[in-house]
Amino acid sequence: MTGMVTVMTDEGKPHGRPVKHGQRSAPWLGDSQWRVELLIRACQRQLTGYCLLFAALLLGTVARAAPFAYITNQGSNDVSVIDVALDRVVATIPVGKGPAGIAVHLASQRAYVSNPDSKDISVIDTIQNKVVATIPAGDGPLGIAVSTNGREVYLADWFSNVLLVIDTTALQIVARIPVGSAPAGVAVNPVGHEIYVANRDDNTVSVIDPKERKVARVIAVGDRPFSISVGRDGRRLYVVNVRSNDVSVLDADTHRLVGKVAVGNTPYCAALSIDDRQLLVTNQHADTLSVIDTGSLKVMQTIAAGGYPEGIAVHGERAYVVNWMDDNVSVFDMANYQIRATIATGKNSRGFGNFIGAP
Amino acid sequence: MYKSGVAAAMLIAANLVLAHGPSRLKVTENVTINAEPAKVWAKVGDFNGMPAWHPAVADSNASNGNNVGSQRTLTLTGGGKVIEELEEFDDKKMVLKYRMKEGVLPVTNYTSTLSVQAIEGGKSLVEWRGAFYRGYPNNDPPPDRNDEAAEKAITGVYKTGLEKLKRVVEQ
Repeated sequence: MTGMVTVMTDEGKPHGRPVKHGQRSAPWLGDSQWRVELLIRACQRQLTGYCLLFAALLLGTVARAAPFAYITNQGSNDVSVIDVALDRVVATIPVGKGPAGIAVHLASQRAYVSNPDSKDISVIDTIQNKVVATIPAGDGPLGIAVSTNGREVYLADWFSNVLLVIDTTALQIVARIPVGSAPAGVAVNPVGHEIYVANRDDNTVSVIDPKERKVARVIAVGDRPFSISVGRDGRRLYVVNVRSNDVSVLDADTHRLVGKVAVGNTPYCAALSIDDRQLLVTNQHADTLSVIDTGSLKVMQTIAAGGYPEGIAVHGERAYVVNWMDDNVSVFDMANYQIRATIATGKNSRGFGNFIGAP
Repeated sequence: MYKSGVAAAMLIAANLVLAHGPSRLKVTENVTINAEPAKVWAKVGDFNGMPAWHPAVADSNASNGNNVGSQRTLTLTGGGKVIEELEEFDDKKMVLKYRMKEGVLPVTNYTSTLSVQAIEGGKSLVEWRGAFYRGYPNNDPPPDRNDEAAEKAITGVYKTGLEKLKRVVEQ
């Protein structure tokens, strides 16, 4: 740890904060928020080396800075909060009815939960781990994502066919953007800031300019697209098609289809490894995980998962897979895809979205 | 006549579009049977064999036996049909999985897994579990097609089936 601090001093001491040698942690990094802000800034500037270095440092002090995984439990109307350093549930937060979607924004200390049955969003403070606001939102709020700067939340209303834009300071809906039919997953490009919406019943993806607040492009994808994952380098989108059992791979600049990868039965969600080199896809009816090499776009492995795996998020070298049928989360070690922990959560756990928020 | 025709057409249309409500539901039922797994699997591991052990199923007609993709049309004793497609069949692990294509059950997007496991004392544990959405895909469902009705229907199918299966195998 001391060695690591020395390296950081030489290359990346930010804003003249003093470094103390011989210390086990990195005090000049201050609290977790500062660490995460550095990481986000480095990644936004695509300084991959710094990005990975900061990520490593973040992980190195994981005992103090470990993020939480927020697992929405659609059947018990609450969120199980898993401390990823301990790999156990440390809090259960009651939210609205039938929670499904989740988006975490660590820099602003917020997690947003969509509750389709009570037609609202629960706003969670991630320091206190409790709900600090509830915003009525649409008719069937489902997919949810946060803008890179945390100022806006984008919410797909599955019954009204619109994307709602919510101002996170005013805690109000500020725009309604018509999209396609049965919008499900929402994702934000961390570099270009575009918003993507999967229109489940139209088999398309809407690309939205956040400044113009309108649809700039509609792209045809596979059958029943549900979730969208975007690479950290902002170069590609991966759209999971529930009915055609495949993943549509799109170039984020040209919006063209660059490939399709066949996966297992009824895939739902996906997550990328930190270096964007692996895409992990949950196959809900096969009870498996497909591991795709994003360079060759080939499935490298198919791993047995729990019952009806759905939500998935990556943190460091671990993949957290939410098993809806089993009401638990499997923690996979991505070096060998062995399960290192199984964590019981609430009922009908879904975790649909970026439920960790920190790489 | 016309009204029920329209309602039926809408139900079929809804199934084809795979539209569904916001909350996915699940039911798991199990039964312990005093018999070796192989004997139990001989009954449930036959995709076309439900009439022999399920009181609600009068007749069954499968297109391709226990091969993946096989479609069975179940004629229910109370009238009506259910069409299901086999998605997985593992003879060794004694698990089969299927998906409902259409039918008179008040559910949509319904998939199910039936499995047999060995337990102590030469007995078997049969587990039947399903995932589905309510019959009415939009908000404000009528009482006969809401979440509760869906859960009740599937629970009924599983409970009555497993009860009779136990009697049939143990006799």
